[in-house]
Amino acid sequence: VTLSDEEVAAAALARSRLYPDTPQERDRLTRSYSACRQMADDLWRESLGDTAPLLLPIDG
Amino acid sequence: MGDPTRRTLHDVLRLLDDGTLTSTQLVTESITRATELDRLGAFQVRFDEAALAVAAEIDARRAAGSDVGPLAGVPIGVKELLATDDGPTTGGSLVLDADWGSAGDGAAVARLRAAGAIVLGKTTTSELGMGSPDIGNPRFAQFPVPRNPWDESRWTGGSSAGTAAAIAAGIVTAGLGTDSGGSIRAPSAFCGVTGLKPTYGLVPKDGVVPMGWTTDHVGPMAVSAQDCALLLQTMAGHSPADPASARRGGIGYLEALCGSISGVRIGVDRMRRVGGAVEHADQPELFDAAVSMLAELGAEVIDVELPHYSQLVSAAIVTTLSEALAYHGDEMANRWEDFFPSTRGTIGLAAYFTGADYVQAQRLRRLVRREIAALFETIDIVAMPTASIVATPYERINRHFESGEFFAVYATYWNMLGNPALSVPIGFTSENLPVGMQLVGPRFGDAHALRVGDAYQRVTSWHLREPPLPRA
Repeated sequence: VTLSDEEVAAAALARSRLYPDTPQERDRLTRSYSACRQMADDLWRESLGDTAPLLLPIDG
Repeated sequence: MGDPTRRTLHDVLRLLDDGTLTSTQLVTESITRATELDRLGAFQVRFDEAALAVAAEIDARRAAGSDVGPLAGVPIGVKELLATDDGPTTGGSLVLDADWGSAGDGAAVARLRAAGAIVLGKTTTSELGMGSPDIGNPRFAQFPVPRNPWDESRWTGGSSAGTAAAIAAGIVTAGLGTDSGGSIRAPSAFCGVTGLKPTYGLVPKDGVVPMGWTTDHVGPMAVSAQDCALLLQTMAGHSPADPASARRGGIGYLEALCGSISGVRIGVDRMRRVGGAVEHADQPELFDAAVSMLAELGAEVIDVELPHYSQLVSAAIVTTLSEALAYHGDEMANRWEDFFPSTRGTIGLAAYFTGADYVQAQRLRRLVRREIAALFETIDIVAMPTASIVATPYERINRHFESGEFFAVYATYWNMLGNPALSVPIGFTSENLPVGMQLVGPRFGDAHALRVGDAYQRVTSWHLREPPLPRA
């Protein structure tokens, strides 16, 4: 099954319990899906090898 | 252009110290000025009576010869995202719990207050430090949208909007902002004031409404780098209430301001590869002139290119929005319409990122932090534009992303890395709008950035110019 970006976006919003209350706002948010994924995909452009995540420092 | 007549925090402290001015007079001046310029929307709420009472008390103690503290009697503005003892905190939002911040001052505000600073009021913020204002929407009418003192048809930039406006307008000489993606540095640049995002963890952020725990910072905004150094010296140091606060402090930031930058190696990145499409025509020349001035002062200027720039900006957005959704998700699910449209439309984008994206962003953060640490083996400071644009016209406030202007502010990169970044005014465009330069130091090298900014300001007067507002 191939889902459209709009369908994937709507499912992602619903999973986060976000329900835009007008069709215009829902359209605007779902239209942003591909730009957001492009941004996230940018993070995977190169291999980071064994680099571990640098998480928030706790207690300095 | 205005004359270079603006009073700095240090000027005001001298006047208080030598008896030329009392704190009561100074606070009265600030209240009068704030009332005259109420249309700028710099304050969410003011505490005039309480401020005058504290001023009178400080005057009495000073007259009695008591030790009154290094900031005694000076009114400041505190961003409405920080809790204070003075009253409730809204975060510029309808959704924050009414008792949020009921514990009162966080460490940063408490330390300023202990040093004698007087909280004149809470300054306006973009909602929760995130959203753009929603002009003309009656639902959010209680939250003023600040106008830029240099051109009232333009916005101040955000989110520490009110603090920047209040300083630029001469209502106060100093204040507090927060910065999760440029929220101190962008309004500082757009309003012609000086603002520092300190090293991550150096100033505790307990008492601050979180947006992105990884990228949130608290920092000073003022007229000069010297003023920022004094405020930082007062606020820096560990707080057990903020688990991310560093066990550093006790550094003499003021003592580091020696006036000389001879031999300092300054890596310059002009960022034209990023912001060229929307950059203001005057910005490159103003920035080049500022760099030339640093060279005239004896600095060694070296061209550099920041590694993984666009990827790390993407990582910052993934990180901050994901953390914001984690914090505000329940409220967004239940009170969607109570968030500003721009806030919900921005935080909501985090629904499109995955857990793996978030982790990958933190892996990239480690990689670039190593690369930047290596860069700082070869240079002492990075100099780069704070932004290649000027203050946004009021009517375009909500179109930052679409217009590309968001990406022409070069601040977010440093939120992911935690390095200290100071924005200083470096001149004015042909329309008399201020432009800023960022001076970035190695982590915990805040003193280096302040030293370079101060040396620059000793030989320039851009930071002392006053906007074209009527004087009483």
